[in-house]
Amino acid sequence: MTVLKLSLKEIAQLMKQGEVSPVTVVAETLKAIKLSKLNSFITVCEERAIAAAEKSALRISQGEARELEGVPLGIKDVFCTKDIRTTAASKIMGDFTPWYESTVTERLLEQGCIFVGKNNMDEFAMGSTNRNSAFGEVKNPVDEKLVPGGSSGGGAAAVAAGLCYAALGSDTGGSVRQPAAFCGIVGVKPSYGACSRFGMIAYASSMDQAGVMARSVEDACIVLDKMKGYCSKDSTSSKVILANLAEVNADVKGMKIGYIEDHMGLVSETVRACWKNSLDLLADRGAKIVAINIQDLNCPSIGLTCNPAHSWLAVYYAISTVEALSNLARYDGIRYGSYIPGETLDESYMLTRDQFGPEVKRRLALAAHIMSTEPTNRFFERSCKYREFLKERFANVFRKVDCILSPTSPHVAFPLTEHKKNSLENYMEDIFTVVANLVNSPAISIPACRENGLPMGMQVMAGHMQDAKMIAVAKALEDALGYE
Amino acid sequence: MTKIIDIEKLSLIVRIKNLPEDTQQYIQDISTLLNTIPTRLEHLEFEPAEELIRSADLVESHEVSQSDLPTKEGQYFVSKRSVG
Repeated sequence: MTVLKLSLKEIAQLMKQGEVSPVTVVAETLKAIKLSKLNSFITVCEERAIAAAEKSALRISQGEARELEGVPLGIKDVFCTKDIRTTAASKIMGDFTPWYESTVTERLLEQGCIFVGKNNMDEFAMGSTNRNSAFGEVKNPVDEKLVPGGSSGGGAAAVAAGLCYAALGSDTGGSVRQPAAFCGIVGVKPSYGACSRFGMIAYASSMDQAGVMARSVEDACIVLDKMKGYCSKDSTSSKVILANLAEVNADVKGMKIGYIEDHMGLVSETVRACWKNSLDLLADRGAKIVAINIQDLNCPSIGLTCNPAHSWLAVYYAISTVEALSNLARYDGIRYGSYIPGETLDESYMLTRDQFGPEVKRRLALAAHIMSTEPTNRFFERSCKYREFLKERFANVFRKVDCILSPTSPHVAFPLTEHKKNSLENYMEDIFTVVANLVNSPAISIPACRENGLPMGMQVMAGHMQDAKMIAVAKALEDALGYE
Repeated sequence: MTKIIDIEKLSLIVRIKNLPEDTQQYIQDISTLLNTIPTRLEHLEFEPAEELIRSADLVESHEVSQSDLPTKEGQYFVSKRSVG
């Protein structure tokens, strides 16, 4: 039995008990990464990881093991890691090597985790296929001809392939949950404010949140528990103390689980069957299933003519791209990153920023268009208002139900060579995930069933800072599904 | 959305020399989606920033005075200290 097949919880215990050495575990992990053809890592921290494993082994032998001593993790290349190149999968970052550690990675290092490398991703976390990386596309370990999802596709692929026990991702509109669903693993995004954003390269600051991908809900919670908590370096960090999520029981008796009826029409027959089966399994365990009428979430006077989920997606793209326009304005190559000199300062900016990839360029252009459309800010202002409205409505819904269950994505993973007719079709992949980011809710994707052998995820979403309820439902569903 | 999208102007705004060739089509496609954002939201007004004050814990950490807090009319005055 290879150590790489064990769960994070198991390997952590075995190492602490001295039955397996961190040196062996890290060596096996690095060997597997070298042999892998998934392109799931941008940077492999071989020397550093081996040195850290030796230190961990020493600590264990001296009886000073920390909670996650010697556990190898993958880190999305969007987190600043001291003395390790950090690229956000973009050429514009050049060989940027941070001189500080992001809060979440710092906390994991303090618990004894070992970073084996920086995971590939969509450039600046913009994408849901991991094809938008300056370092090449990532392959799905379930079938290497398929996309792994994105933007945290490298981490999801690495975890699913057994190249690390868990991986850190960032989730702005589903970037942890959707790749987890495509690769058949668990992906959790906690409530906005639960994990510090300090040191996480920003895409859309009002929605960015660190998350974890692992092979079980419990493994994901073990890592998340060590990352979460107030951080004075992030003004949006919450002082609310969340329960220890790894210890939450899989008990849903008496809980109310909602599902949005109108969403049933947005998915295939197979996805719908999987969804209904998941609801039935929760009902069997004592949960009460409640249908949510979408009109409860939308003011009737607004008079929507399409499925409101499309409006949620629109609001998400309006706000996220405009925030990205502001956040990415800092990349001029002068202070750090790759600089291309021109004859004038303006020309230097233009040449330097031309290193952004096509998807980033398109989104920035869209944001500039949104902000310059007459009347000024029409779409942006409307989006902000609608978002506030949605927050209020969802807060009301979560007074009536404990969690909402939905598919994570309307489809399973699709071929790397398949290009949608237009970007709109690509963005539809996010239709079930963006709302959690818009209303600051926690959400988790767990592998639920398969369509033609390909994994499909179910998403559990709860009210803001109700992460424990979400985990209770996710654990119960994971138990009931018995997914392998 | 406006019918004519001035790509050169957008290129100058975002300071990127070469926007992808399909940018015009891309913006038109996404505009379809943006048009689903409800228009009749005029009755919705932004709430005062009470939530922001709570989450950032400005009251505790920076001893924000009463003048910093939302007024009954829902206006929010940001002091120089808070901005800094």
